[in-house]
Amino acid sequence: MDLVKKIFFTSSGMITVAILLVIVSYILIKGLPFIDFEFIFSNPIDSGKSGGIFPMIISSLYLLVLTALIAVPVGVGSAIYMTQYCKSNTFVKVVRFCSQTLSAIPSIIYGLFGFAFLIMFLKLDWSLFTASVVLAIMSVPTIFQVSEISIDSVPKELIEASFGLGACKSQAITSVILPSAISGIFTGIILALTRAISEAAAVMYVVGSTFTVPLSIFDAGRPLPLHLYILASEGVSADNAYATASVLIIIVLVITVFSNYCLNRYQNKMEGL
Amino acid sequence: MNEKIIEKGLLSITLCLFVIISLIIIFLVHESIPAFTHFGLIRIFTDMRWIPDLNLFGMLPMIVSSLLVSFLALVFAVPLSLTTAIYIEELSSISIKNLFKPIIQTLAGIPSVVYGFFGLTVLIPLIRDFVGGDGFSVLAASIVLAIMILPTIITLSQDAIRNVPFEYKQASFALGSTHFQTISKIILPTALPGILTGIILGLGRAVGETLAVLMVIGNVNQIPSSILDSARTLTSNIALEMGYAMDIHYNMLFVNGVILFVIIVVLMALTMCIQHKWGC
Amino acid sequence: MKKKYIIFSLILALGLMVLIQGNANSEEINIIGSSSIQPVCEDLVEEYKKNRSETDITVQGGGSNMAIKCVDADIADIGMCSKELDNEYGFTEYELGREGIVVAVNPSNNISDLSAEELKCIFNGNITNWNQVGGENKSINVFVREEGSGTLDAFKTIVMNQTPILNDAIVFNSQGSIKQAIEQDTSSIGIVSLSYLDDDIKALGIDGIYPTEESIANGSYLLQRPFLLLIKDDPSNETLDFINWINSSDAEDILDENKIIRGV
Repeated sequence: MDLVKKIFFTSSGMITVAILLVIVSYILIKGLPFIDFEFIFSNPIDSGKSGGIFPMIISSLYLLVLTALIAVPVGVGSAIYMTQYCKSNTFVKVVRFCSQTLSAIPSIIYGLFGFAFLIMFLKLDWSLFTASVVLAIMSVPTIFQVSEISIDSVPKELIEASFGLGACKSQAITSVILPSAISGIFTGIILALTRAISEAAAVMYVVGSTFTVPLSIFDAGRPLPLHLYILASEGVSADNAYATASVLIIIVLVITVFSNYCLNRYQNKMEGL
Repeated sequence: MNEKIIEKGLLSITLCLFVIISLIIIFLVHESIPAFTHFGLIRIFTDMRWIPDLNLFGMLPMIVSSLLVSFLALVFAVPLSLTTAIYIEELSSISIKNLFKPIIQTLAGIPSVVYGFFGLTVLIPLIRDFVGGDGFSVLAASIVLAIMILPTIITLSQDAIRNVPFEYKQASFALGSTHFQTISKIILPTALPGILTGIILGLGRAVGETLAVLMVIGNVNQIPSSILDSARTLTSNIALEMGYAMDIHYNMLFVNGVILFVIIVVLMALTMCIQHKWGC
Repeated sequence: MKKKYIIFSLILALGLMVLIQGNANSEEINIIGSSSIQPVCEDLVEEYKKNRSETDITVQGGGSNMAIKCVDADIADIGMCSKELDNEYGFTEYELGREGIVVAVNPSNNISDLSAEELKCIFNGNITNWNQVGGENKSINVFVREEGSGTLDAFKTIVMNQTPILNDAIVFNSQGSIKQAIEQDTSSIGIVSLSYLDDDIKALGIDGIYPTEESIANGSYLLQRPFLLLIKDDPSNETLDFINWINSSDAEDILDENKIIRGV
């Protein structure tokens, strides 16, 4: 009897894995043959019917860096404030509710907001900068929540010990709390940034959709997910769409694997292994 | 002195969260007020027709479709993700557990557009050939959504199961119950609040997903009578018509956004209640 | 210590990006609007930039009404609009050309010609089976574009006389996706641009007239729409220069390639 149940649970675990494998391998099999040096490093021709995706990769990279630059200080900073400085319990609750709601808001609403506020009201141009502001707003709650949890779980004794050694609060934060919480914070940042880099709906009304390589952050661009969406829904070129999807999946895979590797190494180091 | 500046600086950063959320609310509401006054709050929720040319903006079919698609996605996703979470936490070895972590992370990290694209190129022809209809259907959308919310529910259920105090399990075993009895009588009931939170968050994600749904659901504005019918969700309506909307029509799309926002806030409040009631 | 250098260089890089912007700001043209005109416009811009690399032009999709909204709000320099304007905005209109709209079916369909009345009945739901117009006994799947798109707008004005399209027509948000769907579904009918027409789908004649470049240019094929560029009253020199260049022969070749038909 127990064996049957065990097989049942095991198979459902396997189904989950199978779903991932099917999706990823289907797209990679269809897309990888079209990816070569040329595809990565050349400009699209004929609205993406042929040619490469170089400008999209550059746009996505810009967005990644800019979003991190805006979102990480805000997210981690407010987590530090909430855990180390804030004394009002209601304030904590309200901020938590705000950030939970923010992180659950559908991305299309961020898109609407970005268009109505940044473009129509503030009269900013369509640009990577505008898009990264929207993406940062999306990412802050995740970074904040995860950082808050991991800062909270730093042992109180450690912090008190550092006070005992004469450290002031800011010193305790930079030299004791942050280093011990860094792996959690890092996970949060990675989580938020992978979400940001794979977002299309939130940026489609604020980033523009040009094919040219963006030179500065105030140029319009077309990040990879948006390009894929346009390719797939316009039916421009199935081959290029598969190839673009493969590139996106590979980027996500690399980020996931790399960050896990870094985390493991860091944790081992902290534990003195 | 220096410390004070740091504290004030961090406080102002924290207040950003407030400012942002209030800005979002202000702009959504501000842009949708003309639509409310023009068409009337009650008609928006009761009228079945959405014909912008004739100034008819009933959102009932979209609200129904949005909820239907999301609940159907839950029906697919919850059993699979719960059993997977139990398998990973209770029945698998350490090495398999370590293997699952990156897999679920990847599943969560794959862009929603890729899921939509997969649905468009694989699922839809499959449904057309083997189930019937023209493929663009509530069924296709809810399968795509189900796959997308798997990681959310699995991760949160895993956390909940892991956080069940070890003493409970020990006590249960000591009383002579088997592993599966412990799972169904002790672990699942204790982990229920956490699992529920995961399910609600998954529901929230499903309601809010835009482009993946847009690509596979067919976007017919009707209350679907079967799961093979096409439908249009609140989110896909915004993405579809944003580029063309003028005047009242444009404002109406913000009403769409407000409704979505309200649904999300209600779901969030629900999770808060659950966490508060069970104290976790 | 290493970390500080990384952070410092990141900030430096950001500063540099801002500085680059400061220089390039002067000559910029923002073009936004209909996704149908976007590919043509992109080709035009690419050719235009070959001689004038200093001008920075961005072309963006978003829809015809986005064009009106953005030109009106002074956010864009040129709007791309793919439907007739009720002249209440006070823009200068420049017509790039006209484009044919094709009623298309799956190549396996034995029908090749419909009357305007039959077409109207199919799209408003009075005819629901192909055998009612002389085809096989198969129910008709109707594919249209979303509300507000130039293609649907023209179709509604010219064929439907503004009567509503049947409720359960499947709505697609791009030409390409409609074309793909028609390709895959043997009992479908849908509307696409002439430029999307190829061997995978079959164009229907309307009242015996087939969409060709001649029949669109001389106006005998009624189902067509304009490609307009909208310009606000006081355009910059760069904008004027670009518009003037579109009248040149270089630009004409590109328009021809894209099956944009210049007036007769």
